[in-house]
Amino acid sequence: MAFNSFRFLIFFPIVTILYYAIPKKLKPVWLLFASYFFYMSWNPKYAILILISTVITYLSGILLSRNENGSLRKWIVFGSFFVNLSILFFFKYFNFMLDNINAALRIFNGGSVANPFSFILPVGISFYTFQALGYTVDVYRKKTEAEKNFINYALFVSFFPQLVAGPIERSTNLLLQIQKVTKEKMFDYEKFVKGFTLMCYGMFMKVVVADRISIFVDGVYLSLQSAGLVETMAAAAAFSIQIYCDFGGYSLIAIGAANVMGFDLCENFNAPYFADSISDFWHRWHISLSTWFKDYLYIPLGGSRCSKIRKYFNILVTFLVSGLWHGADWTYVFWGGLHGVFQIVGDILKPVKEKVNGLLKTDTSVFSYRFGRIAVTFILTSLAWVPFRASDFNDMTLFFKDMFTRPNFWVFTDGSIFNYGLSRPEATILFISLLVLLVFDIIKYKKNMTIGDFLYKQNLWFRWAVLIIIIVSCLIFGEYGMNFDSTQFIYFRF
Amino acid sequence: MDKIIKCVAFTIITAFVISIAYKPLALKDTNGGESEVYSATAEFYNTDKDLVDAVFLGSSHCYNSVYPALLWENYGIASFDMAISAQSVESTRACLKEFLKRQSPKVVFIETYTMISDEMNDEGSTIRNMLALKSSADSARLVLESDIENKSDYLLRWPIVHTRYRELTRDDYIRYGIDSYGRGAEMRMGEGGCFISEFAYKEEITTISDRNKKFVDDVCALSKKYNFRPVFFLSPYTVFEGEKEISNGIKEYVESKGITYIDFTGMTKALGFDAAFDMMGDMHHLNMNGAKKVTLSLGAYIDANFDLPDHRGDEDYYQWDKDLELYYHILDINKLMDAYGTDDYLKVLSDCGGMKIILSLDGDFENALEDLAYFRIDPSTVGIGGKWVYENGNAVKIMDNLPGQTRIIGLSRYDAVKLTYDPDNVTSNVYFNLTPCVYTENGLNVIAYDTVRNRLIDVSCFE
Repeated sequence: MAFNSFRFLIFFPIVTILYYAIPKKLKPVWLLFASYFFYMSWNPKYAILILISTVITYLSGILLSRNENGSLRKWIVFGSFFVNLSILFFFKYFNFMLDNINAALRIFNGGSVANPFSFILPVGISFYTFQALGYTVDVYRKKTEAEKNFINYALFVSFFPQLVAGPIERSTNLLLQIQKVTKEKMFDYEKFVKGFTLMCYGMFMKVVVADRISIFVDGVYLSLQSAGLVETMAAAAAFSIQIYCDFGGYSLIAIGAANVMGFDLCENFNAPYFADSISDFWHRWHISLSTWFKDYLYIPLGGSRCSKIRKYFNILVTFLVSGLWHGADWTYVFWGGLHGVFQIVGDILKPVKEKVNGLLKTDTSVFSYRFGRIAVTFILTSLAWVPFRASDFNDMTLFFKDMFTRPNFWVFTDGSIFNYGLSRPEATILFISLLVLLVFDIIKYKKNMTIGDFLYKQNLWFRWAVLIIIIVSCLIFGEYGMNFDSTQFIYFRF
Repeated sequence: MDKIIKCVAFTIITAFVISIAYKPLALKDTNGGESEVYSATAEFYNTDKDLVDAVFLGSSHCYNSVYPALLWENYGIASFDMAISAQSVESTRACLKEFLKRQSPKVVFIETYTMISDEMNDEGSTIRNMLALKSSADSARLVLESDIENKSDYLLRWPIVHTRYRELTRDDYIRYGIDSYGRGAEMRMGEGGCFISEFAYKEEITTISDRNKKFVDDVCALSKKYNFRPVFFLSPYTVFEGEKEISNGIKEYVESKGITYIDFTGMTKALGFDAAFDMMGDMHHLNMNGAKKVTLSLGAYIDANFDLPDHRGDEDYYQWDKDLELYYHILDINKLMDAYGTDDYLKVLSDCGGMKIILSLDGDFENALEDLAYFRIDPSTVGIGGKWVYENGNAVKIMDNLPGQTRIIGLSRYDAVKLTYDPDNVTSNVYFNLTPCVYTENGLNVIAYDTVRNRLIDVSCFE
C-alpha cells in the first residue's frame, strides 16, 4: 500500500478518524493493528520479520535495563545486533554475496554455487532494523529508558507512516510520544493542518515531479547507445531531482501523516540541493540516516577526534557502509565511496582553497561565491548519483563515456531532447512544477520553514488556494492510474 | 466549531473545483469517426423524462442503422439510439437499466451484433462503455462484474480520465447543441463498402453461450419489471459463417421466449440493399442510404405491431424536430461533398441551410464574376471587388477591396474569419482563425462554415 495508491487514500482517513474516535487506552493498539495491516498489504508473511526484530530488541531493552554488568550488557547488545543484522543480511545481502562468490569462482573456473532460496526483499527492512537497533544502543547508553509496554514498543518499531522508508526515528522522540498517547490530548488543529499540507505537497513532489521526470531519466538510461553530452548531463541532473522528490516527497507524506495523527517525526530533508559542500549535503539529505550513521558508526569508530588518517578512514568506512545499506550492489558501495572521497578531498583541499581565495581576494560573503559552491556541490552529487541509478558498472561507464565524448548541443535546437519520453507539453508541466519546488525549497532554505509552517502563517484564502492547486495538480498531472507503471518510491527497496 | 466549519468548507470548495476540472477530462462517448461532437449518452442525459417510446441498444451497428429522425418524420415515433461503439452485452444491460431510470419505453430493440462478436473486449471500448454512463450502482456493477484489472480505477474514474489532459480539444470544453437534441444516431455517408451475402441465408444453428442466454434472460426479466416488449434484431453487414450460425442460435433462443427476432442480414434483397450505395467504406456499417432502408423497415414493423402514439406537433418533443433538421442538414452537406463541377457545387452550396459562407473576390476576378450569381450578388455591382457573408439566402457585403481595411467576422463563439485587403499579398486576405484561406490569387475564394455543428466544412476557389 504505497502512499500514492488509492488504497492508502481510503486507509488513512479511516485509521485517523477511528484513532481520534476511540478511547485513549485503545489508541496504541489500534495504531499497531493499522501499522501491521499497512505492512502486510505488501507481503503478509514478512510481518513475522518485524515481529522478530521487535521481540528481540524489546527483550534486549528489558535485559539491559535489568543488568548493570558491563560485559553482559555488551553481549546483550551483540546478540540483538547479531540476530537483526543476520535477518537483514539474509534477506538483503545473501544473493549479493552468492553473486560475488560465483563471480570469483568463475575467474578460477570453479563452477558456481546454486541459490537455494528464492525470496523478494522485505519492504523497508533496512529502516525498521536500524530503528530497532538504534533503540538497543540508546538503552545500552542509557539515553533512553527501556520500554516495558510491548504494545508501545511494537508500535514504535512499526508505526506505519515511517515504517517502510523512514524517517528512521529515535526512541527519544517517537517512543516518548507513543507513551503519551494514552495520557494526553492528542488532537492539535495546527498540527493537523500543517500535516495535511505536508502530505499534499509530498504527493505533488512524488506524482507530479518525481514520476514525471523519471520518464526522461529512464528514457536516457535506456538509450545510452545513442545519447550524448546534453542528454546525459540533463539525465544526471534530472535524476538528482527525481530521487529528491521521490524520497523527500515520501518523507513529507510520512511526517505529514504522523502530524495529522498528532505525532512529530524528525526532519529528513532540508533543501539538500542548496548545500554548499558535500559535508553540508549530508546534513540536509536523509538526515535521519546520516545522524544514525554518525551516532552509531562514525563516532564509535573514533569520529573526527583522532588523527587525520584515522578520521578519513572513519569517513570512508561510514560512507561505504552507507552505500551498502542503500543496496546490495557494488554500484551503491561505489556511490557511498564517492561521497566519502569527495569529503576527504574537500577536507584536504580546504587550506589550498583558502589560500587561493586569499590570493585572488575572493569575497566569500557574496551571493555569487555561495551560488558557485552550491552549483559545484550539485554537480558533484549529481555525478555521484550516476552509479546509484545505473543498473551496473557497464551502464555507468557508458553513461560517463556519452557525457564526455559525445558533445551534441544540437539536441536543444532540433527538438530531439523531447524524444526521451517527455513531450514538449509534459516538459512544460515539469518545468512549472520545478519552479514550484524551487520556491518552496528557497523558503525552506532561507526561513527554515516547511511548506506546512509557511502556509499556516498565511491568510486563509491563500493557504486554501495553494492547497487546492496542489491537490488538483496531483489529480490531473500526477503520474498514476491505468497503464502507469508505478516506479513506487525508490527508497522502498532499501 | 470554527475549525470544523473551516474543514467542511475547504472540503466542499475542493470538491467543487475538482468537479469543474472533471468536466473537460471526462471521457466523452463520441462514437468515433467524424462525429467528434456527438455523444449518445450526453444526448440521452439531456432528454426530459418519459418521452421515449422506443429505444435501440447495441454497438456501432445499431447507431449506424437506425435513425430516430426518420422514425419521427414518417411515423411520429419518439425513439432513441442508446448505442455505444463496441457495446458488450454487459454494457448493453447497464445502458438499458440506465435508460429505464429516466424513460419508460414501450418497446426495446436490441441489436445483436453485440452478442455475436467477441471483439467487444478491447481496452478502449471497455473504457468507453464503462465510463460513458453516469456513476451509479449499475455502472459500478458493470465494472465489478467484468474481468478487467484495476477495477478501482474504473470505479473512481479519475485514474483513467486524468491523463486526458494531454489530448483535450475544444470539444472537451464546449458542449454543442447537438448534444441536447441528437437522438443517438450517427449520420454519416461514405460509400463504397462491400457486402458479401454468401452466408446470409445459412440456416445452421450454433447454441448460444451461457453469457448470451443470461443476457436474454435479463432483458426478459427487465421487460416484465418495466413493462416493455423486447425485440432483437441484426442489422445488415457481411456476416460470416460462424456469426450467422450464432445469429440463428440467438433467433432460436429469443423466439423460444416468445420474442421477435429480425435478421436483416437475410433480408437484404427484400430491402433493395446495394452495398456500394448503402454501406460506408467497410463491410460492417450502413451509411445514410442503408440506414434509411433499415429504419423505415423497422418503422413499418413498429407501426404494424405496436400502438405507439404519434407525437409530431407536440412541443415537448422539439428535440426530435431538431434531430430531423439535423438529418437534412447532414444530407445537404453530403450533397455538397458529392457535388461535381463548379456549377453543381455552387448551386448546392448556396442552397445549403445552416451555413455561413464567406466570399472573397481577389486579384483579377473577371472570370469568376458570374459565379456570384449563385449567391444572389449582381456581378454589375461588384466594382473593385470585395468580401461578402452569405447566409440564409442573403449576401451582405462586408468590405470593398480597399487597402488597409480589416474586418473580423465571428462564425461561432470560437471561430472567426479575418478579412483584409492587401493587393501585394493576396494570400493573406482571408484567414480562418490562424489559417490563411485564399486558394486563388485571381478569382473567388469561398469558405463554407457549418453553423449547426460549428465547423469549417470546405474552402474552395473559382477562377
